[in-house]
Parts: sequence; structure tokens; C-alpha cells
Amino acid sequence: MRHIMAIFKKQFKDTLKNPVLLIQFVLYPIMIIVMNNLVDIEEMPENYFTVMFTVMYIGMCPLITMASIVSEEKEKGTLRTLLMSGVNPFSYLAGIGLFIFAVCAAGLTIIVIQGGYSFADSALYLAFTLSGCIVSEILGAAIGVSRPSQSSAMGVAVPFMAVFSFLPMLSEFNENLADVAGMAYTYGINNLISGLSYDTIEYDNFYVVIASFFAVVLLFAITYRRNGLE
Amino acid sequence: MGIIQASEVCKSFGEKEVLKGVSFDIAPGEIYGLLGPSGSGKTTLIKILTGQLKADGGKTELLGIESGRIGNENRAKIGIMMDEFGIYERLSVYNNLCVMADLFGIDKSKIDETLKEVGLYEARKTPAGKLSKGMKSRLRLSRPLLQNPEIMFLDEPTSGLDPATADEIHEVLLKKRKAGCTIFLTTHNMNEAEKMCDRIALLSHGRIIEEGIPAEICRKYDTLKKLNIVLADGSAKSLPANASSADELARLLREGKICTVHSSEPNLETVFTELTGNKLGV
Ligand SMILES: Nc1ncnc2c1ncn2[C@@H]1O[C@H](COP(=O)(O)OP(=O)(O)OP(=O)(O)O)[C@@H](O)[C@H]1O
Ligand SMILES: [Mg+2]
Repeated sequence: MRHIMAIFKKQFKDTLKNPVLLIQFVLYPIMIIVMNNLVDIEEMPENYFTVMFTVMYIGMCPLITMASIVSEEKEKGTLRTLLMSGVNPFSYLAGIGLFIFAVCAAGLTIIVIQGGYSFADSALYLAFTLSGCIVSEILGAAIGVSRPSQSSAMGVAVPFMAVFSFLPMLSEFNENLADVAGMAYTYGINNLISGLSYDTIEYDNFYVVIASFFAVVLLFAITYRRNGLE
Repeated sequence: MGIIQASEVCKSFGEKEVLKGVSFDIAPGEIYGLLGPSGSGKTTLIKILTGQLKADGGKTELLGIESGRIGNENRAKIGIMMDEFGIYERLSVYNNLCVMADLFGIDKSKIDETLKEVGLYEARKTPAGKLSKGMKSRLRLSRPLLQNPEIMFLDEPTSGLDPATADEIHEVLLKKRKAGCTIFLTTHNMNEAEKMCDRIALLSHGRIIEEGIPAEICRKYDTLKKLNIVLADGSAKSLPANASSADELARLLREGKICTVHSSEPNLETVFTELTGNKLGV
């Protein structure tokens, strides 16, 4: 536990000094607030921007930050410093994962508050979106573990990020795309949280999130077994 | 029983045999220096000893535990400084040590103390990435110092430092040894080895070709056993270093003709160069 907290604290201090990561964390919450307050289109669906950017946030932020932090520590050798100081690989990943989760939770809380949801809906919104964050984080960890350097990790993470964060939005314009998107956890979450605004939540959409969770856990297990943390 | 032990350690990288049966036994509280030409396998040996790399053959033990089985609970007792151990470049010098203090549950007041020891106190707010090469190396050194371990592995602890700073580091290390810490260090600096190490080993072509107390090694290779004298008029003279030269030496002394006298005993650098057939890199 001491190790997890030490890693968490380290990551907090380091993130404050790292504009690239900071942007990942704050970009979408700020975008949502700005768009909701500035743009007003007549027949726009309720909470249109909130839902759209939330989904992008989930598909992008935890995935990119996790992959980027882990691979950078590998590349710079700081991970070796930690491991040779007796940090267990899972404590390390838990420390980083917990930090990203906490920041995303804070971001999503701000989003949900300014979205004007009821208390019950807010709780559902957070439950759906935070489960998506967990899936993204594990996927990011798998990518970070499998790549030797930050740039090569980003090379892999960015296509995943593009698919998961943009597919739900693009599928609104194309029926065929919607079928494919059905396999993306972010699409499931998209449907779940857009349902919130109309009181028509189709809980079936959560299945894909659960399935994705098991898929990324498996993926992580495979990459971890093959590469270890170094 | 030694606190650091190696017996018949072998390691190859592909075709290249780097270590071909290296053995030693280091007692608690000793400063043991490993010398060897660049690429001779010093860093590789440290990695094997500390369990970062698996040897192809042989056995190594730290604190009586096989290197490959050192558990996380024993890591606090083993401090390591090497270039491969990265520093957090965006974090300040102080915060870099904070990470270590948090991990080991060390009191934060120790951080400033350690920073003063390595001469980084003034730079404690500087982001580590902005430090000079020598300062970065001191920051790497400060981590095992802060940790206050039973064994320290220091891979070229003073490379790239000016002589005065290197001296300060030497003082710190000697203080640590006095407190009971065992230090295993590698160096390219022969003066450092002579001054600091209780024992040294010369690693060359995968084997330890000489091991012992620095001064004794130098005496052992004093094949000439001569006194080299420079006279006041600038001419040089060489006399056998035994009783037969006593009269002549006394005469020269009485006549005040002697400018300098040196024994022919080689310094460590000469011994090293002769034994390895290799000038040391810096
Ligand atoms: N991971 C590796 N893969 C392949 N070869 C390696 C690896 N690590 C070290 N070597 C080789 O092993 C030899 C010994 O390297 P090592 O770094 O241990 O030397 P060293 O004595 O520390 O040198 P220096 O004094 O320059 O630091 C070198 O020839 C190096 O190329
Ligand atoms: Mg080396």
C-alpha cells in the first residue's frame, strides 16, 4: 500500500509538470463546458456535446495516458529504479492506474454536474463512464507493457484511441458503421449515457463493456507474460 | 562468509563471452573496487550480482541470498547506482528523492541531509533534467545514500566529476563504510581505487587477473626494485633498492646533490596497463 501511494504521489507531481499529459486530462471537460455554453442549435439532441465528448474522453484520456506513462518510464529507466527499489509490478500499475482513474473521475464529475442530470442519473452516468475508463486503462497498460519506448507505444495507442473515441460519433451518420461500432465498448457507453437524457436506458449495451473488460484483461495478461514490465 | 559472493560466474551475449568464470568473496564493511577496461563486463557483473540479469553459469549471493531470489522485502538493504537507473527529469532534485523516501518510508528530513552530502542542496529545486552530467550522476548516487543500505553497488560513482567534488564523495563513502556499509564500486580512476578501496580486482578478458590490497599489488609488480634519483644538475641515476646502494646514497645526500628520489615500484595505473595490455578509457 505504501508503494502504491508513493507511485500515486509521484505521478501527481510529475503530471503537474507535464503539459502533454495535463492536456489529455483537461481538454475534453473544458471543451464540454465551452461548447455547452457557447453553441446553441435548435433541434440538437439533448446533452449532445456532453455525450459526444464524454465518449471521446473515455476512449482517449485513460488509454493514451496509461500507455504513455508506462512506456516512458520503461524508456527512461525510471521503472527499473522503482522495481529495483522493491516495487512490485502490480503495485506500480495500480499506483498509476489509480491516479488516472482519480483524475478521470474528477473530470467526469465536473462534466456530469454541468450537464444538469438528476442525482440518480448522475450516479448512473458515472458508473457507466468509469467502467469505460477502466477498460481503456487496461488497454493502455497492455500497450505500454508491450512497447519498448514512448513513441512506439503512441504509434499503437493512437489508432486504438481513434477507433474507440470516434467510432460512436461517426456511426451516427452511417448504418453499416453502427453495426461495426456495436463491438466497441465506447459505443455501448455512448448508447447508455445518451439514454439517460430520455429515460430509455437499454442496459443490454453494458454487455459489450463487460465483454471488452475481459478481452483487455486477457490482452494485458498475454502481453505481460510475454514482456514482463521491462 | 562474505556478504557479497560470486563463484565461477559466466555470461555471454550471443557469441561474445563477457565473463568466463569470475569469483570473489567480499567481507562486510569492505570497499571492493572492480577495475577493468571499457567493455570488460563490470556493469554486466553488477547487474548479475543485483539480480537484474541472469548469469549463464556460476552462483552469486548477496546477504546470503541467491541474486535471482532477492525478494522485494530485501531491496531496501541493497542500494544501487548505475546509469541505467533513470531519474524523473521533470521532477525537481528534491522530489526525485521524495519518491525514494516515500517508497522506503524514510523520514523527509533525511533528504536535505543527503543532498548536502552530495553537494546538490543548492540545486534541490532544479528539475533533474536540467542538471549537468556530473550533477545527474550525483543525484543517482544520492538515492542509495538516502536509502542507507547494507550493501551499495556503485557503477563509476565519480565519473565526470571534478577532483574536489570527487573528494567530497569519497569522504561520504568512507563515512558510510565506517557505519558498516559494504561498498562494491567500479572505476576507471586508479587514484580513486588506490585511495578508497580495501581490495581491488582487475577484470580483463572475462577473468579476474589480479586481486588484493592496492599497495600490495603495486609492490608485487615492482620487478626492477630500483631507486630512481634525479640529481641537482638534472642528470638521472638508478641504484638497486638494497644495502649495496647505501654508501652512494649517503654520499649524494651529504653532498646535497639529490633533487628527487623515487622507488621503481609502479603505480596502479602502470600495473593495470601492463597486465591488461590496455590503456584505460576515462
Ligand atoms: N544487453 C546486452 N546485449 C548484448 N551485449 C551486451 C549487453 N550488455 C553488455 N553487453 C556487452 O558486454 C560487454 C561488457 O559490457 P559492460 O557494460 O559490462 O562493460 P563495462 O566494463 O561496464 O564497460 P564500461 O567501463 O565502458 O562501463 C560489452 O562488450 C557489451 O557490448
Ligand atoms: Mg559500465
